[in-house]
Amino acid sequence: MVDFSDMLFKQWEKGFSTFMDQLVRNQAFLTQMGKLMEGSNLFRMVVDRSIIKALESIQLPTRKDMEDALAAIRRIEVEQQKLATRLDLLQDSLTAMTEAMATLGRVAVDTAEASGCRNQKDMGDAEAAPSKPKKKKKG
Amino acid sequence: MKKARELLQAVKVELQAVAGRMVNGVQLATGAIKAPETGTTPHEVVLDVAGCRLLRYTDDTARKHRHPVLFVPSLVNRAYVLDLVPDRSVVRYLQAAGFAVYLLDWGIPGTGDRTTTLGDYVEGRLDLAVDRIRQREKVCPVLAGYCMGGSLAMMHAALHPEKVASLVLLATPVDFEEAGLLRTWARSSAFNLDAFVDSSGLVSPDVLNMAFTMLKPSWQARNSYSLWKYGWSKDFLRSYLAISKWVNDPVPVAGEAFREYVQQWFRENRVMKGGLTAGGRSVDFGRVTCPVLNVIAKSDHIIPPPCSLAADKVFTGSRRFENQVFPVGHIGLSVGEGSFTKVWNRIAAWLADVEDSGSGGKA
Repeated sequence: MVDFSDMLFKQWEKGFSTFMDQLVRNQAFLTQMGKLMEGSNLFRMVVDRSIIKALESIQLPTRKDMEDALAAIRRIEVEQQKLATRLDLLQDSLTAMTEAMATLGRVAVDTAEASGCRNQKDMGDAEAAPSKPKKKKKG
Repeated sequence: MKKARELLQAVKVELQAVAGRMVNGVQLATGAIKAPETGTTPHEVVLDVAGCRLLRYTDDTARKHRHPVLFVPSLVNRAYVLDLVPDRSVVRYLQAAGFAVYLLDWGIPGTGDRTTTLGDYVEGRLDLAVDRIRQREKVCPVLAGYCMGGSLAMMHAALHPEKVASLVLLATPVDFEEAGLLRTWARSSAFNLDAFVDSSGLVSPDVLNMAFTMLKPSWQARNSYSLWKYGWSKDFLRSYLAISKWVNDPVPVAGEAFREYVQQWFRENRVMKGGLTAGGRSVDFGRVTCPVLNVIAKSDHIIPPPCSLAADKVFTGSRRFENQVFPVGHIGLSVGEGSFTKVWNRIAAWLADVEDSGSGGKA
């Protein structure tokens, strides 16, 4: 079955899209749109400037001053969180390194002990026995 | 006789559709059918700073991949498009595919964001989110940037290549000579960028919405036509309402970030020509060594495919670069019917392959 509504819609869509595409690329149209935007912006800027002047004359902070202060607080907030996270990351690395060192130490002791036992057996000599670690004197 | 039966059957189907349209239309008009809840996948907020939140989706039952995925959405839309409704949720799909998923919700810029720059977003909030994930997961995340979010993600990957396991760019503009109508408007002498930003501070969502509508003026009419045609189906209505809610829920953009993006990216095409900066630092995309997947929507009316395809000329240092083109549109890439079986299954497979082959980043 032929869907006439689909056919009709597609025809309309094609024509409308072609027309609109030409319109939104047209320099004259864009210039008019630009002027429209600039006009509304200009009005807002004039109003803003007069309010700023009035506030400055009575030494009150302007909206821009407040926004700048808030932006600075936000930046500090982000930096503080970044530093805290980096400290956490460093702490994690440090813990991992400490654990790795401890493991390495244990392996070294085990290896030394094993090789020491072998030497003792091979040489069959009391002198080959590893000397006992000296105890540190307290105080 | 056979033709008469076919005709009767067609009339019956059409009558049922008309009845369905009437019932659903009345329910829609009276508010009996409401837009479904969006962003409902269970999550926790693991970071909340300067109006920006990092969400961690909590269901890890299917997890089998080490590197989590961090979604970086655009600054001009709400982040929940990636977790729209349960059966159209990229987040849920990737969770089921075995990934831990994070989403960076930029929030709604307000007072105090007038001077927020792209550098603040990339070097501040995004970098903080990446560090937080590295701290929690003990591995680097995959950055998946959508549209303008892709621009931010690629900047971060260039500035901190050691922190990114791999990079997925979704409908991301790269070569702005090919940016179609948006390029024409951005470069038009009629558009006084400085006056526009200086007077508005925050770029109004209405202006942005109007610009996106003008990119495809028949879109609204097509939407209404689809509603009339398929409005008898409750399933259609549900997704229609969810997508409409998202489309009509844009956010303002911080003025300085907008100025930078239009000037450095659209007008000067610095991604291709060089000289891009963020937060005072030079951005060199050649420094990105991680695997890069560039996902292109063939029917994209916002970012035309040639605009994204140029990424291979930019990521010259990547140890594995791939362009993948899909027959979907810009929004359909994430919420389109069948995007999971056409697009996201391939993205998930690529991510898994990168991890299995060991070409992803280090912990």
